[in-house]
Amino acid sequence: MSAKRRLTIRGETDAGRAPLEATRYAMEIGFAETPSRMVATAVSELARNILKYAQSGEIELRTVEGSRGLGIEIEAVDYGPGIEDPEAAMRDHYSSSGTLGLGLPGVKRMMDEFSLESTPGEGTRVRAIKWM
Amino acid sequence: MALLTDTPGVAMQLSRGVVVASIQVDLDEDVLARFREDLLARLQETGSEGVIFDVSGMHTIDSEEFAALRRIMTMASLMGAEPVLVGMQPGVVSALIESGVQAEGLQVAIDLDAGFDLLEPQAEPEPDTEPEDTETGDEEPAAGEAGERAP
Ligand SMILES: Nc1ncnc2c1ncn2[C@@H]1O[C@H](COP(=O)(O)OP(=O)(O)O)[C@@H](O)[C@H]1O
Ligand SMILES: [Mg+2]
Repeated sequence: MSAKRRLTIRGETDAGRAPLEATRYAMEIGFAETPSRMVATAVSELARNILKYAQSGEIELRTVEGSRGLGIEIEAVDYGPGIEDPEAAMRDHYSSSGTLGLGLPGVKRMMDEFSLESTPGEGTRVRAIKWM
Repeated sequence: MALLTDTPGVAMQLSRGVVVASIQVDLDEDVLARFREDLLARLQETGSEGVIFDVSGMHTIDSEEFAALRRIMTMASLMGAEPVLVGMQPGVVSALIESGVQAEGLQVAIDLDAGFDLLEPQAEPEPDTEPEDTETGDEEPAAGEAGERAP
């Protein structure tokens, strides 16, 4: 089983590299091309949010095992401003920054399991799993 | 013909009267800004009536990169160049669909050849500067040249 991989997100370069790392990680575990790219796109959205809203944070990729076999867990953590209204943030086209507002709801749809925890003033944690 | 660009990771060339921009990197703010400038300048120089955005080198296209691409495509059309997006990988498409982005009104083709086919009627240049080849004639290209085309 693959070791976990931690990606530090501090700048555009990190955010650009994160999806490539995620693709590589997913393919190493044995994910097919299409689901690998979905995981990578989810990582791209989460890295983008970290940069945009919290300036820095971390994304960890892990291999998990469930009743359906192997999966990849993405955990994105930051100590930024947090989200006042998480329900609104999960709605399509809701954005506090004038962008598309499809990042978080898109990640939820691309992955099989999804959770968002956020405390205003403390930070945000997104966890999502995709099964193989 | 290769066209000058300042954009790292984006190659541009003029082929069959069409500007082809091959995007090999993820589009961060900096790359996007330069790409926009470069493309507009090249479109003005060449007076090209079509532009193909080849994204086969992009591993992922997230919602914001897609929005940025769409904006650049809109700009191109305002410069009189019909934009076509080619080379989206199946996994990229699946992810975009899940994101919920709008793809209406987009001209898309499976690969470069199909992209040229889409543009050909508008973009075919006069063959007077192409001495070496006669492929730019009006007849359908010989079977086998463009690979599988829809009947
Ligand atoms: N890591 C984060 N820290 C603080 N706020 C966040 C974070 N991620 C998302 N948000 C909030 O959730 C909203 C929706 O995010 P998203 O769906 O990615 O759309 P967008 O980034 O286009 O606004 C954002 O506009 C922002 O207000
Ligand atoms: Mg976002």
